[in-house]
Amino acid sequence: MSKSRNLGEFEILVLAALVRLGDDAYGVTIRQEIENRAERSVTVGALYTTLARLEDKKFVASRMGEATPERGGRAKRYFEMTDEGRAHFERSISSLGAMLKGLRPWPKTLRISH
Amino acid sequence: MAEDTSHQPLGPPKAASAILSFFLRGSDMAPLLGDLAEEYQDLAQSSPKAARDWYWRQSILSTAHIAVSRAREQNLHRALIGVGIIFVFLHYWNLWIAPVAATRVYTLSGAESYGPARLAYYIVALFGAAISGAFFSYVLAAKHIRLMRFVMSRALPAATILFTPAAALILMQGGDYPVAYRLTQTGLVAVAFIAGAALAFWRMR
Repeated sequence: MSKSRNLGEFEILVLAALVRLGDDAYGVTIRQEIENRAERSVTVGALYTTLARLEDKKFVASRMGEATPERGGRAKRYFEMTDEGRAHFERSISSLGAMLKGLRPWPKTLRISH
Repeated sequence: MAEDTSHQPLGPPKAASAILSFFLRGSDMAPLLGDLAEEYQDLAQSSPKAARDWYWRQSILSTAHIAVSRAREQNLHRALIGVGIIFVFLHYWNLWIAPVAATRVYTLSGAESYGPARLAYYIVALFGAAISGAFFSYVLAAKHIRLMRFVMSRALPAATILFTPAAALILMQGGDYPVAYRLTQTGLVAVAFIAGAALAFWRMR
């Protein structure tokens, strides 16, 4: 299992969804939040493998919730960001923000000369 | 008569659930099935067919994602690539090198028949080749991205160009399989392997 502490793009999206959703962050709501806001198609398998990786890094914690009939009697699994996860998340978006600050318009500013 | 679905119980496709459940055994991802069922119920209220299509798509893509993730975690991907390459080699040996049936590594009962055993063989051969290709891409891209780019942009086209005369030379050696049969078999497995590798590479870009 990778022990990397660097956050990938999708990991940042997932953590941002956790922040937005607060106590209501479970598979369905996280997936829909990313699809609606980031306009990015997400499979539930990709989401859960990412959440498992973040949990392995101690960036995310989970707890089991209630089971409902429309879920086939299966319980929900709620996720929340840990303090360590929040620190890495803030560092990542801060770095990203610093790099993007003042960059516009696209793609003229991004033209790289060697 | 039009089918009245308004009073039928809504349930996700059982086959898709069974496939996904099989890959989730022993993991703590069981709530994933509940999430899929919950979203399926919402979608099925407006369009049962769209809901079924969505459920199948989610199940297949999720199974592939989880399988690849687990294989990489457990370093099984190298073993799977090895098995795939050995299988492709044996397949090509039987097709191109073994001059008569007695020297083949394996034979199907009734080599010229087209029964279920042969169909299963094709599915394993093509699916195995595609999966091997995908794992090949994942492994190379994970640690050797420059090598991966070289393979996809230079080596594969070059190998294709070189393979054509080489295949023609081997073809002249003979063998008791019809030429068209051997060419088709070789092409199908090669295309499946390259398609798997290219798809995985494209997904990672």
